[in-house]
Amino acid sequence: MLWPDRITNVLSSRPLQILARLVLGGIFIYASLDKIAQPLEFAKIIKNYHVLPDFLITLPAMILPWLELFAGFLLLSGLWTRSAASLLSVLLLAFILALGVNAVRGIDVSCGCFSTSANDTENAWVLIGRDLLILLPGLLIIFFGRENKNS
Amino acid sequence: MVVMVFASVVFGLGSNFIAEKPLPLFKALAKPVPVAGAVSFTEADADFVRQLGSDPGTILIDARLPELFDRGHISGAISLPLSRFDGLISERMAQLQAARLLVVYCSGWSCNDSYDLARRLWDKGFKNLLLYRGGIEDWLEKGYVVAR
Repeated sequence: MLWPDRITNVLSSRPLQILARLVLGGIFIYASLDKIAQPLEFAKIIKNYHVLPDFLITLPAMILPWLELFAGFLLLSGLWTRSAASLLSVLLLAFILALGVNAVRGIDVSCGCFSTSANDTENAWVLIGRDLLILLPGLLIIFFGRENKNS
Repeated sequence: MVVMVFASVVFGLGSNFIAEKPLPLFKALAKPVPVAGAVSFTEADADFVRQLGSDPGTILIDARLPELFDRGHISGAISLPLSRFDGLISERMAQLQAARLLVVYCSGWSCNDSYDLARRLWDKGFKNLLLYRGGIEDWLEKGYVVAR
């Protein structure tokens, strides 16, 4: 068997796919809970990113946490896993972009990733690194998930 | 994916609709309203603070945590974190008393540390206070640089 085939087999193996779904789903379900409970605090954090006009801040504060929760549950349940992983990966890329804008500006923002505390401020480059790591299981599901094998 | 987005929109808007204090839709967040009976401080804007920065009789006070101060503050500002007020105020007393004007700021519009710190200073006898509510957030929006 060729090396690329072996790597593909490993990456698309059921245990690794389940692990990726559990990790990604679990992270996003956990991340959504505080934001759903405190939408105002999450809206303030979005405002501090300085990437959206003021009138557009509350809409993502209401919707994004639910999106994270539903997509997380779908990953855990094994339903529509590639769609859920794609959506969460797009969200992660959007967060990375917003963090990148602030990193270039030299601003350390409260990321609002796992908590809505304004004091949960971290270096933007560290947060980008963390988000890139979280992106990995998403990419694993999108490109090597079972739904993809027969397509 | 469409179902997921649709469900999120329904639940997001629905939970906001039934919330005790719903967020405004397509409107900016309301700025904090001063509590009745609270001390009201004169507010300064970024341009005024910038002018004051070169005045030797003015002290800019950063109310944020020291880690945030180290990552970027308004040039010339001193750090007096609200959370460490009691421990630090005695050693800063002489310096602050020598100033003609004190300007207090924190992270931005949504933080209350600048007001709370100004209130603590007021209680200590400092009446020559200005509040820069926009703080670092407004300062950066105006394109002004921060010192590290």
